[in-house]
Amino acid sequence: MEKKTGIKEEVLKSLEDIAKKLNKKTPTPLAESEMMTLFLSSLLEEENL
Amino acid sequence: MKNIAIIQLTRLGDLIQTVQAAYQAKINRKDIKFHLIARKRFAAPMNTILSQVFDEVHYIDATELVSDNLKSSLTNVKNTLVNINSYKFDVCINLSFCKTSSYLASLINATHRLGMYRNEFGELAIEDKWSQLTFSSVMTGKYNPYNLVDIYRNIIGTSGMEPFENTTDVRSHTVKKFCIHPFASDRKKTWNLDKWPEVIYDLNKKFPNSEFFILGSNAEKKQSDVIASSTLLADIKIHNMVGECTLEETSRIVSEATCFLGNDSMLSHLAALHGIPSVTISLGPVKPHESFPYNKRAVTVCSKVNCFPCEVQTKCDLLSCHKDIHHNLIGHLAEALVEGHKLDANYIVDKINIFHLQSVRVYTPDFTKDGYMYISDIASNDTSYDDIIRLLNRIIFDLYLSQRDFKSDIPSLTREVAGKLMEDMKIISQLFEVYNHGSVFAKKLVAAIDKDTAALNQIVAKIQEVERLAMTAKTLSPAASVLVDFFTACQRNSPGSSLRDITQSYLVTFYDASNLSAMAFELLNQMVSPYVKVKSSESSV
Repeated sequence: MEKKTGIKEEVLKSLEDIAKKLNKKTPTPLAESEMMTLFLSSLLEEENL
Repeated sequence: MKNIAIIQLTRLGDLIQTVQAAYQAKINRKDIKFHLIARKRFAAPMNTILSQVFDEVHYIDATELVSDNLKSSLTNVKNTLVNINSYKFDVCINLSFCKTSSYLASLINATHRLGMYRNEFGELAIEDKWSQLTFSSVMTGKYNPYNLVDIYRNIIGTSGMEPFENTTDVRSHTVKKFCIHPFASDRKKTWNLDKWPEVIYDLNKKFPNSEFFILGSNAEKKQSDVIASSTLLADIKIHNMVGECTLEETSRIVSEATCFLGNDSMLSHLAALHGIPSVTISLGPVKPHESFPYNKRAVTVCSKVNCFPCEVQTKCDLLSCHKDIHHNLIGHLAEALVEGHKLDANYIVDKINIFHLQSVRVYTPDFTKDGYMYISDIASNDTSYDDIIRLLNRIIFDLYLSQRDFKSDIPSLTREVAGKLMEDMKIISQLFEVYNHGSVFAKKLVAAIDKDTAALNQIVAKIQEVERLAMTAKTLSPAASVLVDFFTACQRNSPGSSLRDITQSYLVTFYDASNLSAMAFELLNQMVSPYVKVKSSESSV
């Protein structure tokens, strides 16, 4: 399957932002777009894209 | 009309098992519209099968969703979700225990959720007990006593329904058609290919002029050619269909078969879906209790070696579990199924050479009066230690999770197994004490929840100590392992909207854990007590 290198970097950056948000002393709930990013990240990993 | 979304993102075999589980719900609940959310590459080739049970099938296509940049990929995901969420789901049931499915489950709008999902902080959450048990015992270890179809049925809630049964008498087939699937997804699960010509040759001697259909994917073409061109099979009607059929064509061929033979694989579940008599070989990481084809007319053979079943990630060059299985045994079992004999211990003793049975277990299925499967080894006089632990878990969790009384005779044990179970009893007794202490501290925690923080911290430290001790019990006793893992999963998912509610749930979990530990102790005691008497007279245990 075609490797998706471009999006991977963007997803990694976005995951770092999500991690920062969740690691705060009083984290705020994830937005739908952030949950979708987590879904995409996992899909990329599982499908080895 | 109610709508239920079922997520199944894992492979073809799991999709077929999901169909089997949902089938019973579908025929009994005409007022519910069942939706399946599955990966396109697995679900699209079996659309005809899926559409017999599911009103709507929604595809997750990774290659379509993921583009070159994040923004457009998120738009693709959003559009897919808008389409799926245009239905108002009453329940979203995630039957796949993978990370991707947990995120997807949280993105599906539904009033209720079953199975893994993510809470608003992206943390893993599992609310229902059957999914907690699945997460804690199916994903790891070998002591889960439940067939995956029954686990799915329990999560969906299709109790009290009879499994699909094909009543066709295959003895009436004037020309016997055998479907052979000698391949599997992993080398450790694939029986030596050299054995298959011998199995086919044997079967053709038993049933002259039979036809043999070798099935598989394009990637397995070369291997199938080696089997089909074996000199042993020169005068036998072999149809090498490997790489030449779609999944739906394969399904049709299997549905017309007299008998299916193969490794544990997607096709063994396809044969089960059609109720075709089946002989499967369970090797490597295959756990027969979990993945036995959900079929009344099936039998599986596996090795008695201690390392079976291994973990998927365990590397193995010896493949010890492959060597004990004799091709004659596979032929004999297929013959019994085709001739409509009842495959039980008497048949095995009467008809099968003892030398082919010494190193193997032969499992056949039976169903409880509620229609749930359990399998038993008909080739051994004594129950193995692992089977005893699974029986223990079956009795405990049938009662705890579904208020069902699992009927079983007290198993016959070897002295070695009785000795091991007595060691387990000591650990379970300590586990009972540990969980009792947990109840005491959790009770104190409930009382102190709105008070002194320092006192609260001390109690929390005590509870953490209790949890550490329970984990130690798990490492010392297989009999304790499923209990500890299950209650750890329960505690991590304690329900409640406030700290007080969550703490109270914690307390209830400790109560339940100590009760089930007591029950496990009592059951083990009943199993072992006849052998303790032997000890007093013979000093042998």
